[in-house]
Amino acid sequence: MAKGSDHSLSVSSHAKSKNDAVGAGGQSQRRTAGTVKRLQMYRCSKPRRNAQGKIIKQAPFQSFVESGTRARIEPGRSWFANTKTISQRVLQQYHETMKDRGDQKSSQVILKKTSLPLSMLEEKKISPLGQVPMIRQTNFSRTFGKSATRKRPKLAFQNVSDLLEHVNVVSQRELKAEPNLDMVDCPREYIFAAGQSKRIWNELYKVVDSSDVLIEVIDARDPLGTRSYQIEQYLKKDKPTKQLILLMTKIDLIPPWLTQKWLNLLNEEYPTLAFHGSVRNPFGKGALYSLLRQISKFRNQSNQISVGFIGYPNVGKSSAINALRGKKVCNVAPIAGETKVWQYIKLMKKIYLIDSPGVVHPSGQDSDVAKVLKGVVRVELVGDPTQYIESVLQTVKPEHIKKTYTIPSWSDAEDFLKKLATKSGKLLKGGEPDLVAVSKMVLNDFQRGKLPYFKLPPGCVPPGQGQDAENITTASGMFEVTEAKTDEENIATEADVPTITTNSNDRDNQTPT
Amino acid sequence: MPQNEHIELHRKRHGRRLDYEEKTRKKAAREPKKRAATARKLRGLKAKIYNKRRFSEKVQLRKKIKAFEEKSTETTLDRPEDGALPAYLLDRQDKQTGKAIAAQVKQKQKDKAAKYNVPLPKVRMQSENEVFRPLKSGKRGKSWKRMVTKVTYVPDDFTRKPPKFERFIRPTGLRFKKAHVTHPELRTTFCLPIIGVKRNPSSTMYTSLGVITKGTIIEVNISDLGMVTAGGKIVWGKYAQVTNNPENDGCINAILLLSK
Repeated sequence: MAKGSDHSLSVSSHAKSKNDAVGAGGQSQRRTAGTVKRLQMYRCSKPRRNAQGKIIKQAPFQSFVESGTRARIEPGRSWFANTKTISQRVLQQYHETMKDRGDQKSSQVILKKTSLPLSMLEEKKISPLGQVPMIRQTNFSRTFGKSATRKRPKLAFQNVSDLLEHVNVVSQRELKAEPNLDMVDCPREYIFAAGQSKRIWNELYKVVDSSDVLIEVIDARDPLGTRSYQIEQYLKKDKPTKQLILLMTKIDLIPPWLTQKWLNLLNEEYPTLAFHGSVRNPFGKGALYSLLRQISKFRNQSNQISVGFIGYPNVGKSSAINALRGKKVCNVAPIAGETKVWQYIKLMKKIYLIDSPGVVHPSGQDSDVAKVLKGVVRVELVGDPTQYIESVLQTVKPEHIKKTYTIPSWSDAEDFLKKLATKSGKLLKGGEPDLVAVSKMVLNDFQRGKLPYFKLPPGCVPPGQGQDAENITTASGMFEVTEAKTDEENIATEADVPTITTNSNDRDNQTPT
Repeated sequence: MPQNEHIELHRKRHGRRLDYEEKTRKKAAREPKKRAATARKLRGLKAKIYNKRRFSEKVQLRKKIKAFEEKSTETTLDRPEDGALPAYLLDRQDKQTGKAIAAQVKQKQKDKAAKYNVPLPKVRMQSENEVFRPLKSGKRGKSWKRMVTKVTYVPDDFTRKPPKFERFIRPTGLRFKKAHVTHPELRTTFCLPIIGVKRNPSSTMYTSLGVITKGTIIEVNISDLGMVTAGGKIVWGKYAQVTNNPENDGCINAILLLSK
């Protein structure tokens, strides 16, 4: 229990008083009044007790009131007055200005929302079926009581046989849709639920709740596959004031022309930065730094801003933070699920970074193969790693595999694994090739970037090549590569988000669809 | 134990003692002095109890006297007779009317207060012990953090502070954005978005934290109701008072405050 010490900044002759902190070089630094007050707050946290153990003073914010104590609200005219009114003219004016800037650019940010009845401006949603609400259709007094005009209730089915017919039709439809019953599903490996647990999602929501700016980290090798669309939609709908920035990491693993293509594409939706999270020689650190600094300047109503890093497992959230700080502050590993709980890191006086564990939406948009290839699951926990080698061989170009493992040719995945096992000496008793160990090795190499591969934006052709059918992703038709935007368009008007410097010379590389 | 009313019977037959009246009078006269002596002598808890009882007795007495006086003034309030009043009576008459006017003003004030009284003027006080749950944090298990256990309203642009600075945690599960507001004249309920918490009767700190308990006055967005001021402006914000215990019910029910 803390004694009632003075927390004023009195000058004392002691080298180290309570108000001094030992700074760098062993010299004592004077604490600010705010810090002293905060530390005092930590100290006084328990009730004060006498020798008998009876509480003589409650802990702060733990006081009791006697039972039966009443709280009152005094009568007042102001309770009944209108608190907020608006004239029709002002509302119309606002409506028109909003209409003008209807198509918001990705890099534009609303800094402060005016408190206006925005609900009045929104178009009333009409239900897709064109149904009138039940109460408006048949109100109570017309339906029941003396003035009832209704003769019989309006039902979808007049009698039981009608209902039965409907049930038959529906059940027939469902029976057709049912898959082959001869196949029996195996119980799913628990490892494929990585990043989906309630605890991890709770961590994510905590991070979202605590940050002003959210940085979604995506893997440059597969940017669309590692984007979490559900989280993006959630932020857009429920947390409109939080700003989302995409950070494309691991750009050292893809060619520069591809980085630019991805940046152009993604910049249309959200401001996107390219990044290489390395402590020694990072890339894109300056751009991200200045962006964060600018945002913290805009949001000067609060003392500090918090920047949350979210995204898929193993995309490099913690590495990005380490690179920003320039030293190891978060534990990083080339395997998924290294970060378990959220972590606050102070970047500058006014900027805090929040690290979070990677999350995967449990909607099942990723197949098990995709999860293994994206590095969402740990390779050592996968039950049968040999089954994923075929897709690895399909994804990575053969010349890269030949170069990495110095295997000239192979017929199929098993053949490849056998050759690799004999070559690397991974053999079981009797000279049997250890396929499991080898395939784990291959998967690890794939996840850690030893086997180079990348996915192209939809409809993109690599320069100097013909149509490479294998590499073009057919995954999403969400984006269309349109004409390259000029830099002037990308610059936000009020929220001057810096444009990425690599944008300036992208026009020659751009291949519109 | 006496088997019959012997004393009463004796009194009936022979009457009281001759000095009975004088004795009772003297005893009654001595009573205050005796009480005072007891009050002086008592110490500690007994004194407290005694004084409290005595205080309430006196309050009752005073009330009774006041009621009696009021009754008596009412009875003396007569309608003035026709014809001229003598000068010496004019004064008295004025006094009486003055009294009556004072009473009227008082009544009017009372009515006014009733008119601008909120539907739930008095509610149970929420103690801090009930509203805040201590959370342990840190390696040494300090408990300076408090979790709000009641329903709160948190505005859209809110972000939590870093853990070092965050004393009060308002859990997301207990954050509400909408309330079921009943229009007292239409007798209809609407689900309206909350704009803010105006007053929590228990504490100003709860108000600033946005704690919503029974009796709290909240501001709601009533743009859907289509209310218009006399000047033609659209009304979109109004106060409503919470009528249920939202933390128990999982929803906020409120009554719109419309002047009667």
